[in-house]
Parts: sequence; C-alpha cells; structure tokens
Amino acid sequence: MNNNEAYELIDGVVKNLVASDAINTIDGFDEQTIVLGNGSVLDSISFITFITDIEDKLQEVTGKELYLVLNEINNFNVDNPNLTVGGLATYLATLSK
Amino acid sequence: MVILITGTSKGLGRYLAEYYLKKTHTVIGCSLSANVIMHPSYHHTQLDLSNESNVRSWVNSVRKKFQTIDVLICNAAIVSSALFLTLTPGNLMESFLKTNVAGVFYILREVSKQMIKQKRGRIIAISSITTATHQEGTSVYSATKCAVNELIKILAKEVSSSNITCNVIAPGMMKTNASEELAKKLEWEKEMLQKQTIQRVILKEEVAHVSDFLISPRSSSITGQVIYLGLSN
Ligand SMILES: NC(=O)c1ccc[n+]([C@@H]2O[C@H](COP(=O)([O-])OP(=O)(O)OC[C@H]3O[C@@H](n4cnc5c(N)ncnc54)[C@H](OP(=O)(O)O)[C@@H]3O)[C@@H](O)[C@H]2O)c1
Repeated sequence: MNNNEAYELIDGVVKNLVASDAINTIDGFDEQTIVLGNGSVLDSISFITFITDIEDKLQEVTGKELYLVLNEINNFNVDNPNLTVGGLATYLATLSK
Repeated sequence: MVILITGTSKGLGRYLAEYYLKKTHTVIGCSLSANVIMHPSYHHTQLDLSNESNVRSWVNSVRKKFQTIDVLICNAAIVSSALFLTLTPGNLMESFLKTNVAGVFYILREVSKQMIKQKRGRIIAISSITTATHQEGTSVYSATKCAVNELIKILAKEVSSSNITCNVIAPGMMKTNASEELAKKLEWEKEMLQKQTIQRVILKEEVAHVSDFLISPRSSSITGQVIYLGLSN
C-alpha cells in the first residue's frame, strides 16, 4: 500500500464513522487534519473507535493481521501525542509493506 | 450474553465459566493448558495472556466470530509462592508481573476497544483482599493485584462515556487448586483466614453472586469499585 492508498483507507474509515454517527462531520478533512493531540477533530473515545476501524480495514485490505503501535510512528511523542492524517497514512504505508 | 473469562481451566475461572454456561450464556475462555470444559456454548483457546500478540489475535478472532463482547472477567493469574520478599527470585517476580499485570493490561486494552465500539460493556477483574491485609509472603502477588485495582479504577473513568463499567471483586481465601497448593506449605490457610473479618473460606458461589450483581442492567452506575469478600473495608 502506498501513501495515497493509505490516505484513501483513512478517508473511507472516517466517512463510515460519520455515516454511522460515531463521529461528527469533519470539515476540510485532508492530510493536515489532526486526529490526536492539540486541535484534534476527534475526542479520545472517537480516536479509539477510529484506530480500531483502521486496524480492521487494514487487515481486510492486506489480508494480514496488522496492528498500530503509536510509538512506532515517526516523531510520535508519547508525552505530547500529536498525529495528523498524513503522518498516519505514511505509517500505514510502511506497516503494510 | 457473550462472556469472556480468562483462566478457565481450573479454580474460580472454571467455576464461573460453568456457572454462566448453566445460565445459557455463551462463554469464551482461555488458559495455558488445554480445554477441560465440554459444552456447545463454550469456546476455548489455549494461549499465554502475557504474550501481547497472542492476546491481540485472540480478541480479534473473538470480535469477528461473535461481533460483541458483553462481559469480560479478568480472572487468570499466577497464584503461587509464599516467599518473603527478601527470598523472592527476580525471575519469579518478573513472571508475576508478566501474567498478573501485563496479561491483564493486554486483555483490558483489546476488549475495551471492542466495548467502546459497541458502546456498552461490563468489565470485572478478580483481585484479592491481600492488597488490604498486607500479609507476609504476598508482596509480589499483592503488588500485582494493587496494579490490577488501579488499572480498573482508571479505565472505569476513561470508558464511562461509552456505557462501560469496570469493577474489581477482591475475594478472601477460596478453595481452588492454587490455594490448596499453597495451603500445603506453611500454615497458609490459617494465617490468611486470621486476617479476614469473616474468618472462613469464601465460596466461589459468593464471587458469582457479586459478578451477577455487577453485570446486572441495574448496576450501570456502579463503576471503579473494589468489592471485598470476607474483609471489612
Ligand atoms: N485461590 C484463592 O484463595 C484466591 C483468593 C483471592 C483471589 N484469588 C484470585 O482469583 C483468581 C483465580 O484464582 P484461582 O485460585 O482459581 O487460580 P488457579 O486455580 O491457579 O487458576 C488460574 C487460572 O489462570 C490460568 N492462567 C494462569 N496464567 C495464565 C497465562 N499466562 N495465560 C493464560 N492463562 C493463565 C490458569 O491456566 P493453566 O491451568 O493452564 O495454567 C488457570 O486456568 C486469580 O485472579 C486469583 O488472584 C484467588
């Protein structure tokens, strides 16, 4: 999976979550959108649902049992977590290889 | 209901599994050793809870097969050794931490993710009164049970908005394979009972009674509690 495909996967998960009322509509969703940390469009509980769905989708697409480990993401600071859609897409692309 | 119970090969875990099967629930269990419960509504997996990827795969497969996990009972633990802290080997201490703390942490994390998605759930962890009696020879075991109490109390706050309750049942001395083994050494049983307020062995039925209470729909506002059996608070 390349970065674009990973971005599409994230976008699809967000659309599903919005459609099922699990999260509110995100205005101007793009690679800069923050999903965790200061200015995040998701609260902590929504982020957990989001990550669980990303893992499920990732397994569906790759056929492999893959799990996200936040502190493996480049520049991820556990003391001050901050994650953008672009950062997550890059990580997913690496993880799926 | 779909009830996931860890450590169902013997002792309290086996009792609870059979108890909830009799009540016509679906029970999903695990242990290091092979399945001993033969029942059409029982689903066993042999696994080591201290192995993070084993736990992830197991919960993942349960989620896919059953779509829901209504209740989690974290029961599995190492319940052995009556050694004074000064005599406890480092590797024994580490094995306690791996199973009783890391193992509980992994299962709590994976199951609570599913419960957050389904927006409801009941989590119960089995701890022990030794966290309050500070009995000699239980330093490492009790420390791991204190950790469990704290994991549950904090998780209770973190997941409360998803209609999930998290509580601890902390029984006094029970008759199980583990305690019978300990009772052979020292005057374990006598010493344990002397520390209890109700100075008798706690029955597994009594634990099931509290667990019934906690999973009842009417207990949806009870969370972050430690319920001692046999000890006044
Ligand atoms: N007995 C007491 O007096 C007493 C008092 C207060 C609280 N408790 C608590 O009650 C709970 C049950 O105790 P018990 O006396 O019933 O213990 P037990 O008879 O020793 O049973 C423990 C169960 O946990 C499983 N287990 C242990 N380590 C595991 C691992 N790494 N992965 C998967 N499964 C594992 C065991 O599986 P295997 O058989 O395959 O190893 C077994 O099924 C524990 O949390 C204990 O701390 C006990």
